Amino acid sequence: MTTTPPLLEVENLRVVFDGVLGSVTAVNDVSLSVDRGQTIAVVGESGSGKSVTARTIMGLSTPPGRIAEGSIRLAGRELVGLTDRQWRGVRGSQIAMVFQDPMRSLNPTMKVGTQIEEAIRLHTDLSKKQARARAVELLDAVRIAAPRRRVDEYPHQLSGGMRQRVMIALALSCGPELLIADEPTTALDVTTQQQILDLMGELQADMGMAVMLITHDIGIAASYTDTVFVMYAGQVVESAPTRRLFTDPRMPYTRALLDSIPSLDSPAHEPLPAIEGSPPDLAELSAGCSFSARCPRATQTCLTQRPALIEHEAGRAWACWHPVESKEAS
Amino acid sequence: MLRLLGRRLLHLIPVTIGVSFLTFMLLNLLPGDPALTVLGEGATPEAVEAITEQMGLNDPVLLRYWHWFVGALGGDLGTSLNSGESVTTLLLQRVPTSLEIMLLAQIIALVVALPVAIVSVRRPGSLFDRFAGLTAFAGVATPPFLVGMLLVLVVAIPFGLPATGWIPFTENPVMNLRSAFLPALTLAAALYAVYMRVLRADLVTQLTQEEYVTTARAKGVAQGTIIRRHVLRNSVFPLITVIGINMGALLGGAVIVETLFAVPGLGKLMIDAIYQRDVVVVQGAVVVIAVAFVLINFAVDLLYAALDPRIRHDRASH
Repeated sequence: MTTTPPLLEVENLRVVFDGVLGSVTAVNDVSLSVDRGQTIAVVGESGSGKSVTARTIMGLSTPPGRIAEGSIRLAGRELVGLTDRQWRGVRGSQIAMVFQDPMRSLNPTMKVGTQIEEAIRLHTDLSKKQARARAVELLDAVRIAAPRRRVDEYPHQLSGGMRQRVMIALALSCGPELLIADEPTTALDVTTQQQILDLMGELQADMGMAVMLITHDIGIAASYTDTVFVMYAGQVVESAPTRRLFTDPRMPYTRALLDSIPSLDSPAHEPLPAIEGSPPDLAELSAGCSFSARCPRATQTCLTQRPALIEHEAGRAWACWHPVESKEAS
Repeated sequence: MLRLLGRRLLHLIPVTIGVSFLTFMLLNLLPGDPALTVLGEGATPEAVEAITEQMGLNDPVLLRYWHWFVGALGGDLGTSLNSGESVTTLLLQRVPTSLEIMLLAQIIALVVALPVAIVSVRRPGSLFDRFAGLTAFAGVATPPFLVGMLLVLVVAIPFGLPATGWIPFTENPVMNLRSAFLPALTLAAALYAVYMRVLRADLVTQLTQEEYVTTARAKGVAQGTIIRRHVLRNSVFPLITVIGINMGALLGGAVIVETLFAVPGLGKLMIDAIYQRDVVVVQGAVVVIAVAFVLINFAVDLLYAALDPRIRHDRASH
């Protein structure tokens, strides 16, 4: 097996939001790792804690959210407990992020070039002129036509797809080791989605960085990533190499998610199998498995004891007392 | 955008006609005979009759308005019933004084409000933030005449500043600024309160809700830089609007401060004219204030266009 340590190692991360009526555990004992150059997906529905996890890794969790427990190591360096100044040296330089809504994630009153140059000037010794030249290069690298003209334009002069390209250029400006993309294509139309994801894949191969793709779209996770982490109610419930997760899911939640994807083979006018019920209230988690209330396989054990995420096979882990039978075993 | 600005300028016409017509009618309803104002009590009926005829007061009110309006178009706003001076000349003497105090007040208010708001949002709920909020509430809650008197006590007397009187700029610029300082400071107290609160509220909203702030943080930009470089340029827009509104309000609202400090400005002119039933002067002053209101709003729109790239480019594409 490989002996090089992973680029990013998150261990037993717990993020708590303190409120007047008590605290909510948005991320509960999450562990995950990303190797250099690897692409992982974190999938889950709204409120599953995937975005909070991503933002916490970026050091962007703000009060009332706080890290209650756990560790985040980047290339061996512990990030939890860094001072604000130390975090600023990591953000934008070693870890960069692309956000969901390109319409809102750029400053409307600043030229796009200036916004890219700002990041470059923060993390490198380049002069103003050099930073500008680099910004033009980056815009060219993300396939924006006429980059020399576009650097001087404002976000409202660009389309949604182009703005997301600018965001990618911005994120890549200082050559990060890890790019976190939080639902980068959700706000875009389908053809643009494809282009953006393809572009990210190519740039990733060129630059050798790792990508953490946060998405609720299982199809995207299937086509673009090496490993998938499935999150439910603030926990990772299953992780596996992408292909194996899709062909042979073990956690009943993953299974149910996959079943609810419409396929061309399924007969028309037939209702899709949906998961009954809704995710639990994170403020009132039971002692048992958080999926137990909706799980067809749940037993008394599931209601009272929480299953841990255990690596049952090499590279495969799930948190379940009664996993779905493996298709491969039979 | 250009069309919009053009339309704003066209607004001047109905506003001016409407305001001047309404004031003319209202002043016409005031008890008291303008002829008596000119001649003084105890004039003979013959003299009153003669002057009434001479002033055209026997004409129907609409016709009198028409005469005034035609004159006003040519820059002649009539003559003061009291002094016989040209109202246009009187206004031209008084407006610069009011403008000076007003601008000075705006500058003082902004110079204090901007840094206070910026420091406040660095740590919302901190001692500084709460103290700043307190000063703002004090600023809006205290009526100007009280602020003025307090300032005389705690500023003018200890520092030897003139508490009343006015020295024109052309006569002695330094003394002029000294005499303008207290009235301007009095006006600035309330302005500061409004500007500080508006700016602080918008900065907080932008900082907590705008995704571009998260992007900036993700780039590794420090919080102070985010506020100054990213958020402030988005938060100036609501501030500019409020400044514009206050500018117009100050023109008419300087009455109290000008009276308190005996400053010969537009407000003082107007209040004196009202006491003396000098309707022609009141009429002229009201129209000037109304026109200034529209022009200031026009200037605010221009400023928006100059500062906001979204509007600027919209204009270019039309």
